[in-house]
Amino acid sequence: MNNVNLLKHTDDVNALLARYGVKFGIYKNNEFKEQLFPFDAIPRIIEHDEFSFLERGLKQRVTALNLFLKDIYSDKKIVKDGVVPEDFIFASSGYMVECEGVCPTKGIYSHISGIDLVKGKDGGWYILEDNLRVPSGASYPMIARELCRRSSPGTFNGVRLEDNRNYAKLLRRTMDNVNVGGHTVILTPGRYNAAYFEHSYLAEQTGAHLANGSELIVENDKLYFITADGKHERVGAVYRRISDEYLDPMNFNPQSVIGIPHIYDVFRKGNVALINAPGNGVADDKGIYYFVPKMISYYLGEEPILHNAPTYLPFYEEDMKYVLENFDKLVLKDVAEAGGYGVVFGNSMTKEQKESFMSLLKAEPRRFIAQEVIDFQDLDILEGGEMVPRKADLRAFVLMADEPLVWRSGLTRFSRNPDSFIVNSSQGGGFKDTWVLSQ
Amino acid sequence: MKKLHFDYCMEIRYSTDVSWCCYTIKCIPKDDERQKISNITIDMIPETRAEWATDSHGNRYIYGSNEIPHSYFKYHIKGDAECGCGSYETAASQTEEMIYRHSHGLTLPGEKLREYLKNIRVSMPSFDEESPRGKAGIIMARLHEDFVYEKGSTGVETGAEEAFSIGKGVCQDFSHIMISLLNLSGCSARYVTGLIIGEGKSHAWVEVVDSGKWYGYDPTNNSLVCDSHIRIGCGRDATECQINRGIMHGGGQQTQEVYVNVSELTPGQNIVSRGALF
Repeated sequence: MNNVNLLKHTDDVNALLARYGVKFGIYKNNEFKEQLFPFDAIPRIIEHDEFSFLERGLKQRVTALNLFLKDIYSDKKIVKDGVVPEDFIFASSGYMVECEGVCPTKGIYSHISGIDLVKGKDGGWYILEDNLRVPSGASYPMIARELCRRSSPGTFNGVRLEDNRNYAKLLRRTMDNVNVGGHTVILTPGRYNAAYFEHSYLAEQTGAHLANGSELIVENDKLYFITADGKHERVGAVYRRISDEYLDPMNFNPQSVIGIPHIYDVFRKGNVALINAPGNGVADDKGIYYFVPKMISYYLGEEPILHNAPTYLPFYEEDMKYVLENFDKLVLKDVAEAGGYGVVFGNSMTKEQKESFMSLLKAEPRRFIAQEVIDFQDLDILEGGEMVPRKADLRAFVLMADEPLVWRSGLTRFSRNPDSFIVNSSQGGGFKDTWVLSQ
Repeated sequence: MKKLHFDYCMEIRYSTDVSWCCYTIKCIPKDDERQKISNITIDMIPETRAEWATDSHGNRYIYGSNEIPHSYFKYHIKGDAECGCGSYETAASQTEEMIYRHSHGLTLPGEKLREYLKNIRVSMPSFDEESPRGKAGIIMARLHEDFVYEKGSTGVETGAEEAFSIGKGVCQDFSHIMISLLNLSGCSARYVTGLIIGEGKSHAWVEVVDSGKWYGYDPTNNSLVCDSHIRIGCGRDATECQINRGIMHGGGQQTQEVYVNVSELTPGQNIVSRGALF
């Protein structure tokens, strides 16, 4: 593939991205800063067959995760059958007792799932993390593709490439599938949110209303959108980009000023769809990750197509022994943290740090998981006119509509620091477009 | 068996108009194996539309909003309850046992409560062999010795560990501490809101699962739940079955008053009144 033409346009594309306000906001030292999300023009290319394999595995995984959520908030068969220990559910910060016995429209919990994968040097793909709450990132490769086509149309001539600009259609289909009658709204906390660009872009692309909490109101057990001229119009589905705890000050965190009082009461009665459903955190907890392959066998009776990174749960005695003996070659993760925080590499600690970490581990074994460090493939990025290898992952988007749909693209994030394995955008990484070949 | 009449009334006066408010009221006792509720009426001033719902703990509630400016808000729930004698047993599902075995929010234990349970185990080596009811009885008796009833030393947001460190508190604190210790010793236990004979405020106690049934304990009074208790609702902690919750725009300074009365209805018998117990 000849990318030379596109590379010449890196600066143009980044300038366009800046002009379109493709930004990423982060809070650092209590201060909100918006920064550009650096784009690298060299696309990640995935062959057709390889992506078809990923697609099958991703559909299988997200189907099982949805069945798990439905089971946890109703019969809890997987716990009663001893497949997942009780502690990993009910002591998890992602478990929400308010969701007990409440079944979302069509039984779908995770409508939009962001599944993070890496490709190992052995050529195999590994799942790093499931994001089932409010995963963000699809808008970046969408707009990047659009802008690349605009600044370098020649690059795309004769390339048999899956068009990724269909994400809006997939999302619309997913939202319409659960809409119980009325408008579809994308609920944003507002411009100070890290992903505000994405909220507004997805609303524009899908034709949904972009609204903040003060533009929605609950009346008579239903949710209404307040139009510019003051009319109240029924809402049937809310793609909410607000985390569970801030969604409804009357049911969750009472301090929330960005939520909608009583929206959860309306949801409980089935009078509005919430996308994604509240309570999903219990399934994307780093501790639960260990059990996902077991869920696939349990609910689907199938062998998992995609593998986890080899993971140990110090909660189990034999795993604890292994972790303590092989501390230096493992990466340890705090199950309650996200966004690349709470991740430490065994070999990067001093003797004192190691000792204090180990005693913490023994005191709170449920709090951590340990994983083998996967030597994942580098991708080339352009830095100062030179190609340099950097660690990168792939966030694949799986949408659960009337059937599971995998978006044939994804967000490829890379670390700009040559020594770092952490690619999260909140840690200053950049992104690439992901090209999936159509044949 | 007692036949009781109950009144629960809350009034709020605002110094300036409230332009909009919303509320959730979880103060509606319902029938169960121990109590039969009848003649319930709910009055609200100003008259406000209310929707009925049931939460994940099985608590019935009403909720709604009001956009007509007002400077006074009152609701009054009254009815009759026929309550069973002695301790009560209600079936607990396996699912409930799981949910209420794990401390959450205000019942999360810290070092002091862990230490306290350790001491109970040391002084009573057979503790772990006791049934959940046995454990509940022991913990309740210990708390009666070691925790002092005193108003004003804790608030509604005080957790079990903090209240225990202070050493004194009200029915909410007694109950949180007892649940926390029961969970720590592997038992399923939950927080119950309710009313008790006399005039005062709402009350709170604890239910624990033993052999698939829920049993009621009132640690504030160091007694089993009896026919003087009207059960309203439950949760893992007080916040999950808070009797009322609201948000208002405007209103300025507010003064809130709660009036609760439970009296016995049996003809020919004196109305038992033990005054405020809380």
